[in-house]
Amino acid sequence: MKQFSKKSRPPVIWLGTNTCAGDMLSLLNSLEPGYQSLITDLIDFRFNYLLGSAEGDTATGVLKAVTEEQRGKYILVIEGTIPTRTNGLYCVVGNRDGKPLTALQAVRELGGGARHVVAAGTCASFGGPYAAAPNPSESVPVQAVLDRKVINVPGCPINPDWMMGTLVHLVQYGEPELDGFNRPKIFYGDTIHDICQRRAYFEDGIFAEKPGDPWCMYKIGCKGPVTYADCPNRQWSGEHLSWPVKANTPCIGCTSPEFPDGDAPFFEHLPDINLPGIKISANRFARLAGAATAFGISIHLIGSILTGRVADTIKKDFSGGISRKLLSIIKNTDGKRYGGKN
Amino acid sequence: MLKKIVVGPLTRANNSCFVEVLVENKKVVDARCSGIFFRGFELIMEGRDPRDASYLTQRICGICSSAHGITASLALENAAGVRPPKNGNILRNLIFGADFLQNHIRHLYLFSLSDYITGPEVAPFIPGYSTDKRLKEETNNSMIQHIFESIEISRLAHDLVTLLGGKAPFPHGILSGGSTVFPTADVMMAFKSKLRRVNDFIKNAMLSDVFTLAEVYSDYYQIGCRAPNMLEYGIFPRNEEEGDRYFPGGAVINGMLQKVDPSVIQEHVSKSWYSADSESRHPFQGKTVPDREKEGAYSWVKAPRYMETPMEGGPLAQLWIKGDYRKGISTMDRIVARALVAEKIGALMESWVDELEPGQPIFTPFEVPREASGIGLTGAMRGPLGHWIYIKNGRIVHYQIITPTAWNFSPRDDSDRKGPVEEALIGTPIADESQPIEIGRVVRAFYVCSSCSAQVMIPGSPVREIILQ
Amino acid sequence: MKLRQRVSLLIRGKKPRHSGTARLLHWLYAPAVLGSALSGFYIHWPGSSLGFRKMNTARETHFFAQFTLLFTYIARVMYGLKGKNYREILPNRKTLSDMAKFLKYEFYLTDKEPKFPKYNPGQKVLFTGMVLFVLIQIITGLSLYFPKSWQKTAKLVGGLNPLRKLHFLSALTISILVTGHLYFVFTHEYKKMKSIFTGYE
Ligand code: HEM
Ligand code: SF4
Ligand code: SF4
Repeated sequence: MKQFSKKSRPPVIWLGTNTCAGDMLSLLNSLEPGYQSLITDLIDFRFNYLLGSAEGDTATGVLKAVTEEQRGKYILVIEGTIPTRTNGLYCVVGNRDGKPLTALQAVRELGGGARHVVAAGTCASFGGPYAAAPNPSESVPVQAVLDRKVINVPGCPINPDWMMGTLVHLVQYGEPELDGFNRPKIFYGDTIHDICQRRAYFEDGIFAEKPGDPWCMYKIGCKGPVTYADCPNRQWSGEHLSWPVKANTPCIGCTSPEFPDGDAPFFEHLPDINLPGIKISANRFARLAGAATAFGISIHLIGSILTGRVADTIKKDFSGGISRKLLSIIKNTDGKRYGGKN
Repeated sequence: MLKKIVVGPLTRANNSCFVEVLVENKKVVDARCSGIFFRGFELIMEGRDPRDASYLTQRICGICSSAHGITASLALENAAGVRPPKNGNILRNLIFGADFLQNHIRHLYLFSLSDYITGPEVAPFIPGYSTDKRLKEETNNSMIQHIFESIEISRLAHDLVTLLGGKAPFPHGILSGGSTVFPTADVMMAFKSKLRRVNDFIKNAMLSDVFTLAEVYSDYYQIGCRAPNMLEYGIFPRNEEEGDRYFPGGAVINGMLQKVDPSVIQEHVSKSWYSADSESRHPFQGKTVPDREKEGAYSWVKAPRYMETPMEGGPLAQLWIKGDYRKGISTMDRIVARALVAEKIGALMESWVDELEPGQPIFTPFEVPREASGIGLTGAMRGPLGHWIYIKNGRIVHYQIITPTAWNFSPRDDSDRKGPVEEALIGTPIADESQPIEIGRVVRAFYVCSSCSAQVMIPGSPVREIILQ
Repeated sequence: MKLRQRVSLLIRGKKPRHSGTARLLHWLYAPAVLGSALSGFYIHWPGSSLGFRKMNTARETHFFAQFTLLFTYIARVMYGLKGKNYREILPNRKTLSDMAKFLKYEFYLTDKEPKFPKYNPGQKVLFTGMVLFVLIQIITGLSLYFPKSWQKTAKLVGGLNPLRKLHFLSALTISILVTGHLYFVFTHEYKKMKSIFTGYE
């Protein structure tokens, strides 16, 4: 196997914490450059929890070696949330001195000496599915356990290009321009909705009524209007063939910080409303609120009619008030009675 | 003298896990497998819209995501009393099948092969073990070549998923009611020609590589053996009636094949970190209350049992039950079976493409029931997968998932019976205790879905823990 | 009789209940709120019978109404501060005790109609509510309209989805307040209703 110059390739540690491995698998789907070129030309992939040949202490040994020898040089990529429950024991990434090494510990230690820290996927960036209510493992995103800046590359999973592009940017030009959620603007600069091919259907009001209809997915919960990502332009996976709306399904907003709790149900326009003790869908809430208003007003109106107040108001204001005044103006009489000067 | 070897983390599996074995006279005499991370998906599902399950549960696993998509779809369809139209069923099978191919190719080349060959001299293929690599240099190099080709091909398989599912992993095209991409001529033409490339690779590279391994490492037909206790629910519904499957389901107990009865499945938790009353339960009543500090427990994985028996699932069980491969139950049989299953699925998929009827419906609209319960069962890449859903007021009130890894990688149960991987590990010879490469071979052949690569040893350094009994 | 005299007949030389500026602004923001609500709810439930036929018309209407509302809101707040007439609207210490009297009457526990200065406590709460919720509406609306430059608001509430939810909930609240307002206007004193057109009771 030919080796390229080692100097130019920064060491990369890719640590999986509470993850499904989807992000690493997605990176494997990258077409250009492919994985082979990534590990031979671009980076020195010293540690990878999924594909590394090393296991056990050999693997944790690599972590130790890189942190000690390459302080300030390596790029740390974290995939997955960091559970904090029971001191982080809900995710163990290895053994050290016979004791479990938790993800929490590992990320804190590795994060300190890294040149860049990248959170790969929505879990690592914002919490994602594994931090969803009731968050059984008390998971938090990487940024929550590190004092330094974390570059968030969200997506569930990440599009191969988002991660590859971020890595290439880091290696060649340093840190990319980031938005308010620390996402690289090159990939998360526009909302899906603004660059969607079905935007014309949206504006003309041609909507899909069920999954599989080839129109705008707005009415079945498309989160494109409130999601930043370039899926419509870039598309998935290696060969850039399709994306959820092209597959006639709604975007579920997987790159957003609130995914999935803040934007589920996926097939509804608005997320659920959490009232103390109950969860209620937005439309149901609206119907209930409307009904309650209508009910309140009708009761009051019935009361006013029964007590004769409505009749009084009408008598007072119409017979004695406006109508007589109007009459007097038209007839031009009786002016003095109102103190006007003739 | 007993020696304890801990492989932690066991990498090249999907999700962290630890394997701990006791070795006596260079043979494993006891084993404990633990899943070392917990996410609590079943708890997370409570209160959600049932339609979200087919997308959200896919997030359990990145490599077999569509399996969860299918199972969740079946569970809700079962609860709502609806079936996808013919096209919808075929499309879903195609997406699922493509994910199978992706998974099996990646599993062999990226996860397993490093245990048998000397990998390319580039990180993360280095560092690794150096013992017991028996291949001739020429064969070895051709396999390295195939590793890099396989990356290309498995990517292609994921692009097949994308073509019909919108993206991969976590395709949107699998949902209750059917599928969503119309099988128009252009799409199916692209699908078929990509599929042919994947199938060519399976036939020309994957199968021959596996047979080479089987020849060179033939002793692995005697390693990782266990009694023929296997379970599969059946994969790929044949038509709108979901019970009839291309790969039939079945329960094998001591070599006797019977029909599956989901009602005899029990989940044990006495050795798992869950504080549920230690009574074993049927999945509909199963409870998930995590308790990491529970006495005596050593894994996040629960221990499901079928008629009190630990069952193994996966390609070997799938072929055994189908009747296509009934040689032995060993590490090498598992590896060979995986490649054979990939070949069969690839061939089936080509025939399914021709069964599609352009212009016919692909999705059946349905109402989410106010109150209902449903079961979704399918074979996944690693074995039997089941979702149990209970709906009230149109929302999920209870969700239970039993993954293949729970079957294969289960810890001991209430009556202290070992899980299948634990059973298979017993008797495994360990030639060099500082490089226990054999453990990984046995465990990975099962296809454990844990991003885990486990062992406590650094090659050459002394074994850390010595327990005298 | 000249027109001026005829008008002066109506006004009896009194101080107007609503100044010209207040009336002008009211008649700008009233349709703006109505337009925002109708178009907004159409955007939420496209295809519903809210008077639009296309998403785009609804969005253009919302756009036009939302900015009218924005500017008139700012103008109304400035006007309220300048003339100190915000004191008539905001609840004060007395409002609480007045509220009891007011509610007693409104819930038919007494027949004696209490008298209040310009606005009764019910109106005060209603109007203050509108001031607050229209502000929320403007902030959340602007953040939806300029999602990039206003990303901080999204960050504050956890993302664009929660922001959208807030905008919707606050739209519901405003609609309820407006409905209540209209109900009281149409069933209570007509001379007061007249004053929003003419200025005088
Ligand atoms: C009384 C005032 C208003 C009401 C009742 C109202 C109501 C609504 C409603 C019901 C929606 C639909 C929300 C959804 O379900 O997604 C909406 C959307 C929206 N509103 Fe408002 N709104 C008001 C004022 C404003 C203002 C002041 C602004 C901005 C300055 C604004 C900007 C927007 C935007 C940008 C949208 C999203 C429309 C789209 O997706 O194209 N709104 N509004
Ligand atoms: S963000 Fe999605 S793909 Fe990544 S680890 Fe989390 S669930 Fe898996
Ligand atoms: S499909 Fe979604 S992103 Fe595309 S126009 Fe419709 S709402 Fe916007």
